[in-house]
Amino acid sequence: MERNEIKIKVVDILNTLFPNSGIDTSILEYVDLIDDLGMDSMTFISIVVEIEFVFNIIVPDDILLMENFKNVDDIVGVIENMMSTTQE
Amino acid sequence: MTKLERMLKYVSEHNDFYKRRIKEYGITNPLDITQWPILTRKELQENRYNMFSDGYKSKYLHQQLKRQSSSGSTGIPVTVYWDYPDYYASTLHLWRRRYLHYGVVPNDRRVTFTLNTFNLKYKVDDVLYKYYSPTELSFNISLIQETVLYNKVIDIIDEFQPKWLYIQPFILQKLLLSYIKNDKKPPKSLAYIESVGELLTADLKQKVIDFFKVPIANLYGSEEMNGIAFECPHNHMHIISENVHVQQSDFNGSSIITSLTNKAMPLIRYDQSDIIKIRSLSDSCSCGFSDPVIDIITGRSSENLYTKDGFELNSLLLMEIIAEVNNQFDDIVISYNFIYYKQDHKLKCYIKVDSFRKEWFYSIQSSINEIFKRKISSNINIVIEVCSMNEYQNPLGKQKILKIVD
Repeated sequence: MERNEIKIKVVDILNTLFPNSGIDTSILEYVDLIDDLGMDSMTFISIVVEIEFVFNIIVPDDILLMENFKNVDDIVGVIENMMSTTQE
Repeated sequence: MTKLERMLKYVSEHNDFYKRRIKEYGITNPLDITQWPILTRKELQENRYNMFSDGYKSKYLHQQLKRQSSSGSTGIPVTVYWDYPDYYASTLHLWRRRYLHYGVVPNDRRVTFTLNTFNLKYKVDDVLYKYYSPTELSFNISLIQETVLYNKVIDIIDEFQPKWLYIQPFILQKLLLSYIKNDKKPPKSLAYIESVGELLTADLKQKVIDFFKVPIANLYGSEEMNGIAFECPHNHMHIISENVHVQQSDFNGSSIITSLTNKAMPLIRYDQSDIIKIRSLSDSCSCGFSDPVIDIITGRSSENLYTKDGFELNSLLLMEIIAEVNNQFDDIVISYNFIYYKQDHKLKCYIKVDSFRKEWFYSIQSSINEIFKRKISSNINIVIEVCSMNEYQNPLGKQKILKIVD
């Protein structure tokens, strides 16, 4: 799966999880989920559960820190890593 | 190496408390779980500041660990500390199953029922509720005694339109009766109900399914471990094997549980004190999980006793009072029991405070009185008397924190 395709799906997930953020989809990929959208632990776990399901990956315990998921690029990076690990 | 063996290897190399246990108990192979002694609640309580693995004491001192307290259905409150990634991993194992089986994620709207005291709150008559977040509506159930009040609860739930309920069976039963009696319809948004705290009876489960027309699942968990077992759509309470290793004591059938995720304060062969029966499945369950299942869980029923004027004295309410005191006074109460004397209309609370802070007893006494008055409705005429455990020579025993005496 191409990076851009992953990014689009991630933005879709975030749009569902932050329905009242008031932030336009086009700039969602540039925001900091912790500082700008106030991501809490519940939303964080929701993101992990959704990306695991959508991309058929398992996020390993040792990277489960909000700081590793603070923006779209970080999340896409985690997904790419997990997908390449799965393929190997 | 299995996850259990990795945890056992970790504690044998990085945790002084368990290194000492290896010596004391003559453990020859630390990777063999059967060689480890059982860890009792009392041991956990007494050693709570000595059980950190290497590097985590400093995180504790800098308040970088998550604190989880159990008010203790056995009368012995305990506190467990978690590193945040481990805590998220532990809860994630349950959330994966919730999502897979019932389609709920943490961000879905849910209604919970609690005895915690609210600071910011709404109050309609005696119904006290609070929005913990835009997705969590929580009711304080200590004041909801009358059936008529459940009517209001139903209206507030309906307005909130939750996707799921996280609810104790004894409240679910009252709520269901109120729905039926008042000819109310379940919220259209409702897709799932999760029963916690004690197991649902088959009868209540069927009635709930018939009325709400949504799946209902039992969760067996604890503050010390998070999720222990979770019911799949095929009625199997599967052990959450990614999170815990569960054994059944040969001696009394008690659940002996090892956390597979908490490295900060590991719990190895912890006596959770619920009576269980574990069964291995001969074939994989159709839900996709093949973990063993827990068939019986006892020792968790909430003891609801009624006072002379009909007030429901719920043991959970009493546990919450002690939990609040322990939050205020940094785990000062190390054991407790309540006895209600029907004739005198008096509730006696026996507490034992930790040996370093015995002189704080009088502060605790007034704090318990204040919290009790705040938590129960004002027209209940019970006098609460707080006594030192030393005055009480006849402990009620395990699994019993409340007793009524004529």
